[in-house]
Amino acid sequence: MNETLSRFLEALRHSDLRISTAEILDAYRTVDIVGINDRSLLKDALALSVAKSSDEQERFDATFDQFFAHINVDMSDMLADANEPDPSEDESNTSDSSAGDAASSGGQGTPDDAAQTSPLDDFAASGNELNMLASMSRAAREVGLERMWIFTQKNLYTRRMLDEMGLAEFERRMRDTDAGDELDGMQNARERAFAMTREFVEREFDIFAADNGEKLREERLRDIRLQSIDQRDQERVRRILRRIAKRLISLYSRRRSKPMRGVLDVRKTLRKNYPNDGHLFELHWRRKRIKEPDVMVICDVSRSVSALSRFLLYFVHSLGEIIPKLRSFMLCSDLVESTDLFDQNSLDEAIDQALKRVMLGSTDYGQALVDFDNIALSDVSRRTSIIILGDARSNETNPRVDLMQKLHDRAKFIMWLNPEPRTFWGTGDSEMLRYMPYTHFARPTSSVRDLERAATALLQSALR
Amino acid sequence: MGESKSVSTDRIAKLESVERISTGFAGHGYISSPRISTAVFLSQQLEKPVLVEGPAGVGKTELAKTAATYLDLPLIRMQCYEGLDESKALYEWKYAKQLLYTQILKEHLHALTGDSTNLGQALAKLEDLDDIFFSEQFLEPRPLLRALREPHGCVLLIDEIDKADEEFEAFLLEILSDYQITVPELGTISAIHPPLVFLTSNNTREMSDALKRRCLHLHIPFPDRKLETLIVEQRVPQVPERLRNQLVNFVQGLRGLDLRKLPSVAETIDWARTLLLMHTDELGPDVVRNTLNVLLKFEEDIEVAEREVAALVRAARDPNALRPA
Repeated sequence: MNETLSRFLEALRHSDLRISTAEILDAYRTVDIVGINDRSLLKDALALSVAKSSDEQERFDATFDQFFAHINVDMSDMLADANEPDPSEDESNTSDSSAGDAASSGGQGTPDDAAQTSPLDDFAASGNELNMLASMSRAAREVGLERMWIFTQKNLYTRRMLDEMGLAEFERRMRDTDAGDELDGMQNARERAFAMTREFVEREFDIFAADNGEKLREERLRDIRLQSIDQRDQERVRRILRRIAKRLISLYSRRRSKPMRGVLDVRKTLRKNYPNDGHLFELHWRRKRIKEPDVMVICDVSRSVSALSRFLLYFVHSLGEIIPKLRSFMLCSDLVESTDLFDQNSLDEAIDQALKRVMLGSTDYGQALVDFDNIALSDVSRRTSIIILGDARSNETNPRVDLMQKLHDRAKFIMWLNPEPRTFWGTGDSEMLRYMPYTHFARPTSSVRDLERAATALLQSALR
Repeated sequence: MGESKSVSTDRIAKLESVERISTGFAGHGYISSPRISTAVFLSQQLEKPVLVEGPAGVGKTELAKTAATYLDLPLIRMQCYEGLDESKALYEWKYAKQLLYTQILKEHLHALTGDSTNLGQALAKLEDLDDIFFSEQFLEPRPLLRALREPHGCVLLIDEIDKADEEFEAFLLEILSDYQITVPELGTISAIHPPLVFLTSNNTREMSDALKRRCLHLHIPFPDRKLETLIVEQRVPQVPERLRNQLVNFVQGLRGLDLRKLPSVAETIDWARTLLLMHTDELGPDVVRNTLNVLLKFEEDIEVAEREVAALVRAARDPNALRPA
């Protein structure tokens, strides 16, 4: 059971459960206590000691069912180790009989003369699927099936396992056998062995490696330009963003206040020392409350930037737990506020509706700043952080840098995310270089990784 | 000593198997799913606390209470809240008593140190008296310390741990993993008998990994139809079978709606009692509308539900109609 259990824990890790060494020890102790005979008890008990959230619980249940659906293999493996399988005497007859029959009857008949004992021979002779499963487990260990990493390797490993079980020898003997019942039987057995091994490999792959391809893909998606992302990858990117958001939330939600070194909190000190007859034994220092940040997002939604804007909005809204006060604005030829849309609708609908509100035409950053000045400048305070996402291509209109400067003077933090690479800034109608002096943070931003970096910078400064 | 031994063997016998726990709990009016009983069983075997999560009203706190009555152990309950600190949870010095005693004993102190000629001598004499003012006599035990000092063990319920601060969570780690605590003035105090610990959480925030690692994790979801029927039968036995099935069906259907707060078992039981008081013997749309406020706690939920009442009642009265949903 030990090996099986550790393989099971390994499988759990593959389905994204975080299992520490201490939990592995717990799992072993648990199994010692409850035994392995009652499967539902075993499942409950292991779930309690290993799965640590309701989310993990679900994944545990799924993995348990998947894994132990084929655990009989390993049990029979142990049995097989104990008493060697005894092949039956009448080759052709038994191999023709149905699989269910052979499996249930186990190894029947008298021992063979043991001239050839490769697993495939045994299988052809007895048709005993249980023994075959045991042999496959052994072969899997020999060829290192756990190293299988990506789905294209399935065929390779199937072949290797068959070779390990004596396929070459078996096929050679098949060629020597004359046509007839015996050859038919062998062919039949060979086909079934192929199918079974293939199935075995598939199952192992599903448990241990199925998500590797996905992981590779996600890793690649982090660096891809979001503006030109495939429709089918959008959901994946969102999943990545959600995960990043979750991490950032847990990282930045902890601190609500920070100590101010050396500033005595007189009131608290007096209050806390009343029991000491007024003698000031315990000192208490003043703490500075970290206030909830105000964040305003201004997104360019013209065609060249809109896809990226969607992801940014999605990302910022996923951070809602630490940025409860979020206002969003859409910018194209003019600028409109879209905060209310996000309160009422799902994110996608909100963005679609916001796009209807804004005048789609040639972008005009100067006009947008004038609009922003009218709508929201009075709400910009020393607590406000502003994110602007756009290429700063203003189509040769007045960029109104003076308004940008005003904004810079009032706000705590201004971040400009530009989807263009730095070398393009200031070329043609780009006003980026003129706006840049009035930002605290300006970076080319096009991928998930860039978004993550920007969010970290935002939180670090906003929660200060 | 002999008595304590028999008490603990009794306790071990009562927890010897999952089935025995299930039947024992049922005898005390708590219908537990196999997973819940397994959690109690393992908690005893592995000497680990159980972290119970789930929506409000599914019987998290009730589980600890039942465990205490079943095992005939005292239940020590600590309600967590924001700002809870160790002086409220663990121990506190009885400042007032200390002060009072120093005042009263002033005379004696004077007599004791009276013949010393200088400060150094007086101090040395006082030192000889040990730290009498920081001894057990002046220690005010709070729930956690009390739990460790119960001679026959106890059931310790740390309720709504998610409401406490993260610092407090970290502070709990020592007691949860080793059943001991450290009081600077007294040293480390270990449990006489490891208590059975339950922590409950409503999931208002994620617990730290360190805490989770030290606990068995039990998630209690809303009960399925069968279990809920059993619970109602156990708790409100006077309700006739037909009504019982109907009302459970209705509540199960209600959970399928998009509500702010779904009704849980506690509400089902309250509702069953209400229907009983109203001498209802069959569920009808009017009765349901009149009593919906027992099940639902938000005005907007009641509005949403009222629109669906007719359909849900119809479905509840004809259980076959409920299947496809």
